[in-house]
Amino acid sequence: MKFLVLLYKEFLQFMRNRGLLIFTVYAFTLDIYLAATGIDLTLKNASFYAQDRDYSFLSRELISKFPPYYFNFKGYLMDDDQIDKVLLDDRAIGVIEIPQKFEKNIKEGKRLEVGVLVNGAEISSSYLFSAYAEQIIYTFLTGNFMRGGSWIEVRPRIFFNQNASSKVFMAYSELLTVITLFLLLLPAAAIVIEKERGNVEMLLVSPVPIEFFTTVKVIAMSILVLIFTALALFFTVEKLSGVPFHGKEIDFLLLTAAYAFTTTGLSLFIASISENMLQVSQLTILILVSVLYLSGSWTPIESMPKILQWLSALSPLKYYINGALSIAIKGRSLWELRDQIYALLILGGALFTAGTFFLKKKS
Amino acid sequence: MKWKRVWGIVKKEVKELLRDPIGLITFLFVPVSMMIIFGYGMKLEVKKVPFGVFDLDKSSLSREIAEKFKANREYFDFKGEVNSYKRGIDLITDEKIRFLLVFPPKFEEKFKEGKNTRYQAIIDGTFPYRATVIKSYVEGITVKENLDRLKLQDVLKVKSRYWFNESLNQDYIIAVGTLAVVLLISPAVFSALLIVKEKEMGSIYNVYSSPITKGEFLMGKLLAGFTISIPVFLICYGMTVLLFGVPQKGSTLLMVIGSLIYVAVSVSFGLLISNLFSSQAAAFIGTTILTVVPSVLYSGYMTPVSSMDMSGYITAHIIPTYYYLKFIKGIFFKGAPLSVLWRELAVLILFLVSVYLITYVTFKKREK
Repeated sequence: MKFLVLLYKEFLQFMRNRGLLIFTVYAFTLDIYLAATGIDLTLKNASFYAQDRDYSFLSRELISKFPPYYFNFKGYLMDDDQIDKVLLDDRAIGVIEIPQKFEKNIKEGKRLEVGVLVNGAEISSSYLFSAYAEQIIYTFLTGNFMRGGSWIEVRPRIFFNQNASSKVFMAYSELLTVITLFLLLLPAAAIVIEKERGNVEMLLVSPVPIEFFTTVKVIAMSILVLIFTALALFFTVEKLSGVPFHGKEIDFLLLTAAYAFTTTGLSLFIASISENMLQVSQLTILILVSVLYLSGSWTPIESMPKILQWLSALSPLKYYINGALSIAIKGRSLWELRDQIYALLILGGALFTAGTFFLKKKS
Repeated sequence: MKWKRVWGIVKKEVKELLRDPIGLITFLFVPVSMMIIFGYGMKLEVKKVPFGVFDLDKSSLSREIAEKFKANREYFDFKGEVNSYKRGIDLITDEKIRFLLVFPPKFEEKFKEGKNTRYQAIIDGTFPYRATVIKSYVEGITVKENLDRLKLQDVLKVKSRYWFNESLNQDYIIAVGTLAVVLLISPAVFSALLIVKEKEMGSIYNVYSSPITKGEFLMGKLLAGFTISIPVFLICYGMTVLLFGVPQKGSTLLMVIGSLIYVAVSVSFGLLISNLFSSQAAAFIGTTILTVVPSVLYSGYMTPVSSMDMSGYITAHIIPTYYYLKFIKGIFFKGAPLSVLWRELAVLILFLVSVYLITYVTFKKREK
């Protein structure tokens, strides 16, 4: 009974906080939609120019081989000054340089070199641009050059996401980030605000033990996040962004519940060392950024330095991302992912015990 | 406007922060850790990719190609051969390997008959950027193999060069981009609490009932957030130049002036949110969401603005980070003078003035 009353109080408090409600709705809808649809980490529609010193049939043919889905041909440039301009102003990702006597050398089987100038100022697309462009040019050159002899081809097939569409990944990764942000912040904020107002002192003399009080808060916030997760999954991800979901929704939510246990443990920890919201906010960002990085969603874990690879075992998001993407994209079942869940529960148990211990010690 | 009152507010906020050591330390440590984590972490490097081989041909040709992958230890990590297709797919599903090379029967036979021959690479597409990079690796190795076999490696050359100067490597670009992102998030998140904390604690009533005007109050909060954020700027700028070693071609004075205007924009944005909402949790969450996603995704930091669609292009242009990033890239990499960069500077000032004015208009010196 006590439990239900307190739970009701938390829900009511959340619903009456108009600002928080607005941003929660925004985060679980528009924010995810923006991240999913606006951004593509793979090469798409990459603007490029060509400096064609030959301007022959074959050189124009080469430019036409750049497929429009990945590339966006903007036109020909006359001199080096113009190259400078389009690259420095970030108007293009690259420029293809075709030398004089391009066609002649191909037909006569003479040495020739094609240049790919890449705008270094792009993180994700400069490498992909040069790699794709090189492939296209090499294939074109050898195709026209061939002095007989056969040819080895590779057919890459991308599994689970055939077009390697960023939308699918970005939608889920943003959802998971938002979930993490709220799970880290909400319980800590709810506890610290009671500290700031002096309510914790009142609790100390009341029959409600402090750990009971904080546990209710954690449960309340977890339930709220789960409800919003379900809404985001059905509405934002599937309906609004048109991203397919291959697994069972209930599996995803159960995994999220396990993750909520671990992450709210971290949140309790934040609450235990914070005295005011400034500290809560800064610690939340600090933990969020670390947990995000160590999860391996930016740099793959296998390419991190060894010490970070070990540390990544402590990032709950690592297990959650693996599990959640496996369910959502690969359509695996929860039972196949039980290892991730055990890891989350063990980590969560440790964090919860530590968090509650410190919280009690301090008050 | 009585500046004595304005300074009173600035002094109060600075003292309050200095008396809160945990708050102060975390406040200064957050930008440092963000610089380090984003600066090193955003490289998006794809190396040591675990892979497997399913060889149905077991010919010298298939072995030779597989060997090319195995020998490149920096990029690939050979996990072993599998004896069934299903086993290979299971390994991918299980995240044990990221791609599988499949050599069909008669792979070599076809080649010897003078026909084109083909093998498959099955790539885990869960992380799309990673998948496309792996795809480009596999295709690159195949192209090289063909050039070697046809003895064309010295005849046909495609050379990629990074433009501007050779010293401009990806680390520098990331460091400079991170500077722009951190200088938006950190001051904004700090300032987001400046007004709302007084509302939540009730001390805002002192402000309502005191003779201080709302102009003085807001200017005081703006200057307080700004003053407190100056060390953040100095630390991050220092890390960019010293830790990441980014060479700066342009004027330091211009860099400092532009950056401080940008920091003021960040502070004013935090204040606006702080003014509009009545709980610190809401203001913090709102500021975080409204700054992180746009500045990381739409400013040209992660993806080029030139390849965004129309809506992305428009979004980029309403985010101050887009202009500031252009501004500092101009200073660091091109040594551009004020005569080139005045436009970005003007837009940033416009942001500052308009956000401040919106805050001024929406701030009410009484309870709503």
